[in-house]
Amino acid sequence: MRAEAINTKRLGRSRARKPALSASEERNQLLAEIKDDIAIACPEYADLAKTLRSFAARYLVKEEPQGLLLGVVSAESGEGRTTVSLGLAGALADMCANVVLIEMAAQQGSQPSFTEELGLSPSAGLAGVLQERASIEDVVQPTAKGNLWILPAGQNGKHDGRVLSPSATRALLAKLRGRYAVSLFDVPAVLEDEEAPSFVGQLDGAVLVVSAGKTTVDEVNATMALLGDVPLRGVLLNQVHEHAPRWLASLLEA
Amino acid sequence: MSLRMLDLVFRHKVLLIVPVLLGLVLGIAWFVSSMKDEYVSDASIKVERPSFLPTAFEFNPYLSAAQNQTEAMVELLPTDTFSAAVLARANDQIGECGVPALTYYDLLGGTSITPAGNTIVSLSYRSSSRCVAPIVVQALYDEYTGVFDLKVQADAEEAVKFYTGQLDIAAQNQVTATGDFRAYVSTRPEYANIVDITKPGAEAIADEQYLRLSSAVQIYKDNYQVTLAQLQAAQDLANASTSGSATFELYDPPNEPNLPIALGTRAVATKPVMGLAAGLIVSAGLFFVLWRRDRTVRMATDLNFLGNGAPVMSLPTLRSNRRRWPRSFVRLATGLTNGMNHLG
Repeated sequence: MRAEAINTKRLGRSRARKPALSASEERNQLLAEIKDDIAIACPEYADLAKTLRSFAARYLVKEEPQGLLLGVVSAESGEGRTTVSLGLAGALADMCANVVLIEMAAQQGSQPSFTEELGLSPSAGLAGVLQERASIEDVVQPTAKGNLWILPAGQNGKHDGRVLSPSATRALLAKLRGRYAVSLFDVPAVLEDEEAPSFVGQLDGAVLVVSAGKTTVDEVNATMALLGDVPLRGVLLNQVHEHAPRWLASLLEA
Repeated sequence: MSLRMLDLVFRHKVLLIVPVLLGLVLGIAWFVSSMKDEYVSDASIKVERPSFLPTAFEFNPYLSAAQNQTEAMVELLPTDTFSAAVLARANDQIGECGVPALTYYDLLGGTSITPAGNTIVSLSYRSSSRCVAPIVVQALYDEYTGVFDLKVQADAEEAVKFYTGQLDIAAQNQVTATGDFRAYVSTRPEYANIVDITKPGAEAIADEQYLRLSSAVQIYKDNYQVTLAQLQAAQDLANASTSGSATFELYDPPNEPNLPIALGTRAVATKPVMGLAAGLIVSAGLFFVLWRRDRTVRMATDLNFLGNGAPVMSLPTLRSNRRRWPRSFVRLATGLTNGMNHLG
């Protein structure tokens, strides 16, 4: 009840101010207002974080990792890959020395990148590093966790042959491997970006995000075929909604 | 049923339940719109088949008279000739009832003929008009009477011929037996005073041949008398103008019913159940289509085909009180939950 009240009250207030504020200002203001209450207002997000911590501990970092390069992949965009990347990066930061989340996927349409959503400073980002306009140290941004860093896609984040040149990519990966315990890549959708499979092939493993009720079996098959020999560290079936009552489902299982 | 099927049912529960409810509602509406009072009038007919009539024709000796008669009546009812005759009789009178003339299908659909015991046949007619019902029953009875009168008369005439022949044989046998007896007695003068075997003392005679011949005379004489009686009965039946009264008698005449008949459970339930069944069929068809079209991954077991040992973990949908949020805030909340903001 308290969570509902907080949400309703604050969202209502933010809407009332909408004409006077720009979109980013409004977002930042809302961010400031709800950040302290988020765990209370959204217990499901806390559960999600707990589940992802469990997944990371069991399947990704059984021992203390050093220079582990992991990609979060999905067949198509809109399957929750970025959200899972955010959660997984936070979970990994709880158990590793330092973690960097690299935003690779340029968001489609009007949906903003998570750099903007989180209120991070615009920078040259990954694009700038790959184009040797900036160093990693210049563009990574700290978070409240302290050992979790974010490398935004950058202002020229759309991928083309120039951005993902093999030599620049190899150099980037080598730097990341030496600097961070875990580097987590939010990779563009495999079936939408033809460079994504070859990029993931250079990583130590991948986590496949599948959206329940959206991703088809054929899409998963096609994704797996494109990923080839990349070690699949696990599959996260996202947005699962159990429609049948649990007691009835358990009866059927019995 | 698999978990996936169960999930599909609950996921599309509204879509699947609407045809069922709609079918039920339409079935009830159908029943209500077609509901009307019905009246039944019936008559009890006593049927007996005289024992002297031959049994070879259309008569099953292992069934009761009522059962035999019912079979004959039911067989006759759908014939064009008989039904046309009944309709002609009935339609002549139902003009007073203010209803349209009956049709062949009205007659067949409303008429019921059932045995009600060994010798009683119940003849009834169901109609939406209380006036029509007894008229049709009376018309049926009259027409049946006419047909079966002719039939019984024909049987009786057959019987007269049969018993006339039998009587000739019986007379011949009697004459022969009497002649044999008299010839034997004429050779035995001592039997002259007891020629008549009916007189006391005749049984004392120990002559086996005498006893055999005298018994034969008596048997043939009795046989002749019985055959003669049957012949006379058959002649009476064949000559009677209302011979049906002996075999096809109206016990309870049809009356105009006072109240409509009460609807049975079956009559009430049939149409709603049909609607329900149609709705279920539509729902089953929808289920089948939804099942065949859904190629998406919905649960961890759907990913078993990967077969590479990769662990699968499920993440719940983030919903409920976040419905009021813009979609992009899902990421924001996830990031915040994990401490990802520059304001921390």
